[in-house]
Amino acid sequence: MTLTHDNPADDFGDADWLAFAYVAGELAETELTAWEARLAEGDVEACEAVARTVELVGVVAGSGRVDAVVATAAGESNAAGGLRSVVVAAAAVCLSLVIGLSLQTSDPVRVAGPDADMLLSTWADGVGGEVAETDAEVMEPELVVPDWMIAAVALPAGMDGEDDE
Amino acid sequence: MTSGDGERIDPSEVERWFHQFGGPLRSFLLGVTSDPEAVDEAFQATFTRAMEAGHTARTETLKGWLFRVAYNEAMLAGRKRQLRDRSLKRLAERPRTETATPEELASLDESIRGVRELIEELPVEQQAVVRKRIYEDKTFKVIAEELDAPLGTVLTRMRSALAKLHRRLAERDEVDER
Repeated sequence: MTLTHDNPADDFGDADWLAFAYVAGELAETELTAWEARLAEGDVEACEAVARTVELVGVVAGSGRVDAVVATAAGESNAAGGLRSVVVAAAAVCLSLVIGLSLQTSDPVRVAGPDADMLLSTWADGVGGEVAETDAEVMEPELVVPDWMIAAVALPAGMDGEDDE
Repeated sequence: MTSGDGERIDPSEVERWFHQFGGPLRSFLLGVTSDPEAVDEAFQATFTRAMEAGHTARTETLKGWLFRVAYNEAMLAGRKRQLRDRSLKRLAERPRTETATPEELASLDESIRGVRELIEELPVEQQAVVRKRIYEDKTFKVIAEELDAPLGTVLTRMRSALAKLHRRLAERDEVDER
């Protein structure tokens, strides 16, 4: 492949063009031998052309990578958008099922009974400064009486402190 | 270019060469070897050689001397590593943050943006050749077949596109030097 030609109109000389063909691996055997002889001799024009070509290819390829990155990011964004749509749709279906089932239930779920009322008021008053962390704890029907309170109630009459005076 | 004893070069002189010619030498080595690891090895060997024999170089031919040494070291590194065939794709894969300063990286990013805009301004036929040759690393022969165009036409398109890109980079370098 003969790559050289005269083109005085541009400042991209034969050395630059040959350097490009060289780094691209496009030089024919005879051209390659002649070109490498110039490099081996330290021909500044040829060597600098190779250095310039590497810079040029690096920048052009870099601009191609930007394209690729933008395309990849756009693809990922589209994929993420698609995933989000699926999740939202699934959530909507689940919500519809829950609402539908609860409407069909003949005995609506509600908190009732004295134990529950006491528990709710106890929770609302914040007795003991503790807040139930789960629904299971909130719905616990039994009031837990501390041991010290049981012991105090069980004390004999003579030990209730009235004799202190 | 020698130190006081007349036998060895002043290390500060080699350091000056490093700053002045290090960038082009590194790019040159990458063009010759297509292998970033071989570049590192040959680059280091070039400056070691400069320390040993730099006093024999003449000022007026110093750059050629350094390129010659670098080429020989690249050949040695290449023989040791059994270098692969040349490929533009491999040139483009080199890490760019290894030695670059933040200013150089900013300048490079600016160049990439500028070149990208310029590529988009190229005639569509030239854009196609540039993309296929540099981004996709296809040979001119394959590109000619794909585009159903004569090989000479494809080469002319590529050369015209490179000339424009080359001019843009040269303009950037002139601005940087001011």
